[in-house]
Amino acid sequence: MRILFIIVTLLFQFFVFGQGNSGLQLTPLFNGLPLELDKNYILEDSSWYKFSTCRFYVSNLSFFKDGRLKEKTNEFYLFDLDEPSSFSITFKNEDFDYLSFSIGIDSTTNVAGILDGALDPINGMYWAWNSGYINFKLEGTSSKSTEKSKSFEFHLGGYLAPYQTIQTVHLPIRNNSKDILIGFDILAFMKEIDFNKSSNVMIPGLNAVQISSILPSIFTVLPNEK
Amino acid sequence: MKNKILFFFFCVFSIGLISFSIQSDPELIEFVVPKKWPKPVYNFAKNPLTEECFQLGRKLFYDPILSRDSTISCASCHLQYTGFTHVDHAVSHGIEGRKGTRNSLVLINLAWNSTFHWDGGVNNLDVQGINPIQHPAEMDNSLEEVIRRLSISETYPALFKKAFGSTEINTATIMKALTQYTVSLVSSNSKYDQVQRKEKGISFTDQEKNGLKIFNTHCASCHKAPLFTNTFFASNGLKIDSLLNDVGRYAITQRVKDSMQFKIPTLRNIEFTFPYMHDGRFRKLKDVINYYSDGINTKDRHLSSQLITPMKFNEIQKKDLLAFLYTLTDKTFLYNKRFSFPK
Ligand code: HEC
Ligand code: HEC
Repeated sequence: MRILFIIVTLLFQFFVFGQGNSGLQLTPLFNGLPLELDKNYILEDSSWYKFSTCRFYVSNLSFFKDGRLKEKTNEFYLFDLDEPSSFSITFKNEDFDYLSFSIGIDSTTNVAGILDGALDPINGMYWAWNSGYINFKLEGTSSKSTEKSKSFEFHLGGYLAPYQTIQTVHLPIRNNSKDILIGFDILAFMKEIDFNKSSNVMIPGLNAVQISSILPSIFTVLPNEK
Repeated sequence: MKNKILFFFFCVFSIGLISFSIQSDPELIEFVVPKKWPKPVYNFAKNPLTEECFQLGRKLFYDPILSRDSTISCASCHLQYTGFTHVDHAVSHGIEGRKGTRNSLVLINLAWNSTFHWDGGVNNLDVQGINPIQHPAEMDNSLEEVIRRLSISETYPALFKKAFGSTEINTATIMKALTQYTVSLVSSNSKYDQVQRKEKGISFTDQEKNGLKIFNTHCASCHKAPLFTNTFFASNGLKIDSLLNDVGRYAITQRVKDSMQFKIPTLRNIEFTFPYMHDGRFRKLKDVINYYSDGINTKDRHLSSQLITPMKFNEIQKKDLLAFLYTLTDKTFLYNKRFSFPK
């Protein structure tokens, strides 16, 4: 059984690579430069930021050409800045001019019971008491925080109406047979948050919805000079 | 001659090898839906019941290995003889005697429920088990640690192999096994059921009949037969406990109308599942009936509409109602050996 599986996988890979394969990479940025965990960033206005956790789900990756869907994956990918290499998306090199993906997990998957792989609750992206996935998690410390400890924690999730938090990112992009590099700027995200409302969001609700809605705007396509 | 002996050993060895490599498939078992009951909500297609997996789940349910200091099992708070709940504790007691904030729930006919916990926060039975394992006042453990312990234990890898075809243990297989056990806890053989099935020689007494009438008028809209819950949420007007400050379903949905709404619990085996309500505030069933009769604050703005008219039962009516509630006791369930501690 296992051998069969390996053979099928090899054949499949051969087939896919034969068609020409490209990858999609995510690059976290802070003010336009690659973001590092646990590094203290100080801005000119003397505000400061330090991040300890940045993880989120990517799903529903779809490729379009002239407004028509050409390919869609049903995979769920977990991006974790602690282990960026564990995040790898490959796709067939087809002709497309536009792609979209979701940040987070759809409602059907949220009620589907126990799942494994990227969706295993052991990954720390799952609420047990209010069952559902945390779509996006960002933790750290910042001068912006209203907490004494200057800490902030954003665990954004929730799939029940009217507090759905899943977001969709749309990016026009030309397929030029190179890897696609997508950046997202965490400073742009932090700047949009009203810290007076809350420096900690750990439950589904209005706050989570409002903060989640910032996410699509921080993603951009980066030039790939390779 | 020597060759023949060698050949013989070769044959024995090969047969052994072959029979070792052929894995017997787990034995499928049918989930029996009692006659005239609704269709179960649980999706058995995703977790088909097998004897091997049920037995694995049963063993896990009774095994304190799941708790951080190996003192508490699921059964510590969910005792079969009392309808799979913790008796005598208003709120549950976990590891090192730590107190939780809620009364432990009964595990009865879970296959017909679509949400779990008093606030309905758990949306699928398969993921419920993560809660007690991680809860600091329950088992205070981590999934990683549970997987590690089970994987190095002498017995479990082989049992997981029998149930799932692989010795690899992960969150999903642990949860699915636990669910196979808990979803199988069906109680449908109380006196009430036997009367419904018109079994020979079984009938309600006059007192029970009168109790049933009262029940149908005042209680059945929420505690609906045959499950004795309509599986929704409601408020029966309990005043909020200022220490626990439990707002019920609102904590999950953040919708104002869900404030103070709690899961409508089943009343099956209610004779033995004391204390009652989400915070265990009533020790006796009599206290509950007195509360519904005379204790409800009908001006409470969260109170569900069915309870706005005061019931004001007289003493005879109270006794009748109590007598009816006792007909929901199912001894064959409470003492079913299939559900008891695995020997
Ligand atoms: C320390 C006591 C304790 C332990 C140990 C415990 N539970 Fe519970 N259980 C509770 C309490 C309390 C609730 C109600 C929780 C709530 O509403 O927030 C509950 C609720 C449940 C429910 C939901 C029932 C319903 O109708 O909604 C299930 C299923 C369940 N427990 C199964 C288990 C399993 C399986 C284990 C072992 C892995 C376990 N429990 C261990 C106390 C416990
Ligand atoms: C509006 C719906 C509704 C009606 C009508 C209703 N109940 Fe309840 N019942 C509930 C809810 C909700 C709870 C749980 C409340 C809580 O814990 O906060 C409950 C809890 C109980 C409990 C405790 C169960 C347990 O396991 O702790 C008993 C017993 C009970 N009801 C009996 C009755 C009887 C008898 C009547 C009729 C006189 C009745 N109920 C009418 C909604 C209702």
